[in-house]
Amino acid sequence: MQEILMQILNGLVFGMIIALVASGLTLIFGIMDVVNFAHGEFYMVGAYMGWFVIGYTQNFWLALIIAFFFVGLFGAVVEVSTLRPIRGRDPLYTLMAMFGLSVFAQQTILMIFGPIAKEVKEPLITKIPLFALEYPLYRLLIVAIAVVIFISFWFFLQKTKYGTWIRATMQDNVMASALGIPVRLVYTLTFALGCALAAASGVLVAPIFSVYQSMGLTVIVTTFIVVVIGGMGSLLGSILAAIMIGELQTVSSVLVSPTYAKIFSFLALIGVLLIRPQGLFTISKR
Amino acid sequence: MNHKRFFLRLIIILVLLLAAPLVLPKYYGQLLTEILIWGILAMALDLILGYIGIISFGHAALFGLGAYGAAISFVKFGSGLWLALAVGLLVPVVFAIGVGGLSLYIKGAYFTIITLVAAEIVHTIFLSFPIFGGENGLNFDVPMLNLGFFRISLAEPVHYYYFVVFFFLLSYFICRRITQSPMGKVFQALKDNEERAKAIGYDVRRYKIVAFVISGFFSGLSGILYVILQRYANPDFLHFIISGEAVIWTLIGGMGTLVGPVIGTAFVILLGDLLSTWMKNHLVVIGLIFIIAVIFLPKGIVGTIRNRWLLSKSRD
Repeated sequence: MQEILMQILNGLVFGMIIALVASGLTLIFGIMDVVNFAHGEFYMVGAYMGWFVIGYTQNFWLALIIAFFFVGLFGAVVEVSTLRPIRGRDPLYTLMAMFGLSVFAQQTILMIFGPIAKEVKEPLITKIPLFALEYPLYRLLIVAIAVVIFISFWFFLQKTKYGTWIRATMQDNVMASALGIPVRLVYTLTFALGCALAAASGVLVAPIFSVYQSMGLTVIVTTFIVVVIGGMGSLLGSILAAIMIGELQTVSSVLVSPTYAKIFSFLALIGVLLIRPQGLFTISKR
Repeated sequence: MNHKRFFLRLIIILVLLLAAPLVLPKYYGQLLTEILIWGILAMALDLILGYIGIISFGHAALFGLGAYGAAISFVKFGSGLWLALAVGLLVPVVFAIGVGGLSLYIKGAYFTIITLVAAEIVHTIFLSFPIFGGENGLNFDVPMLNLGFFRISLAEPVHYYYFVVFFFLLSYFICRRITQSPMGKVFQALKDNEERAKAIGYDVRRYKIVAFVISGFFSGLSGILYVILQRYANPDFLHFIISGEAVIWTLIGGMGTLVGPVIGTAFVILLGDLLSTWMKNHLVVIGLIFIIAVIFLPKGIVGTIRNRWLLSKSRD
């Protein structure tokens, strides 16, 4: 019983991590109509960045902030150099360009840092009593940080000028452009923000899992399951679906086996595709 | 292109392919066998990527299921070559029907995502279930090719090379025939303007599924040929990198040209072979070339040359 409770909490932590990655992915899709195939790579580069900065400064939180901004900048550069020239072409090409970036990023990291996985120490080693078990404080903190990020993200979208621009572009980019919104800037900003969120979750997850060059592929598969279940382009849907899949995978990993955990989440995906292909949590527009 | 030209080219290529093992050193003979096998996979991907315009990141599953299908019939059922071939073709076809049926009625992006996810699940299953040999995979002896009146050992590289050449040419002609058939024209119509094809009355979903299943068939064939060459099936055959490389070969060679993907395969494999003498991670360079090709040369090697040629012809 205690073990299952433990796994339910772990599932929540894992779900929050996936939610951070998925919200960036779904935001980019909703606004730019780009399936960012390289999204897992921004998560991976973020984790490496975090590991690297921690190695020098021993400061986890500084690493988190640096990775967030550095990878955000990296995302902006990618958007301007790779996505902007091919905007307006068939979505096929953006998908392929991002896939190429993913190969390039993974292999470059492999070349620089080698194939051995890197370990990052937990910034907090305290355990706190919670429902009759000792739970690491750091993991609870991840949930708290993710919630803070989501709330500030919501405020950013709803209450600031840039947020309004983003929402307007999401609804109708031609109209937004006609009204004087710098749509190209919005695209760059959105892409950078989505990548930065992925990087942040990469750093947060580094002490729990290790840091390795193919971690992006592992996370992107789960993230894709989540965004399809939650409905592509729906932020709240992604967050809810992420928690659902996080719980499903973590709990069934222990109850059955990690292989079955993956199979179950795939079955969940198939189920959603058969019953509600537009996603569980989207309100149909038509 | 008129028929005379086509046949002239065909004869040249046929002579080159048949003479290659007599001229090439052993290592390059082996490499050429591999290029032809991967070329079938690239052609198979081109049927949906180049002709219908939807992108699959799960072709490793089709390829690997073909490979495992054949390997399992050898190891578990002790079957001969022809039965293994049949099983190896049937499994990926069934898989393609399932995945295609589930995902091809929504936006293209969903199809891409679901092919990737499904392929990863298949990879996990073959990696962790002991009946499939787990991480070690399955080892088997190379079967004899039984043609009724005489038997040929496929363990001999030159024999196997000709075996592969036969299937390569067969696949090419079938794929070419398909793309030039009325059905192939509908495929291209879907790529050019899906909405219009739908409005005219074509059952878009059914055409897409048929194309994906045909693609799965030839991907499976490629997997079978590869598994016999290697004499073992391994979970790496299902790894994402194979799906990814197939996309790279197809785009660099030229989507929607059928010959292009094969040339792209040869180009990338030979370049990788060349680079590997200097660096361990030749994929860094290939990844970069790929991104540049997507932006500046989306028609690939063959498509670009063909365009130039048509342009110069229209100027005359």
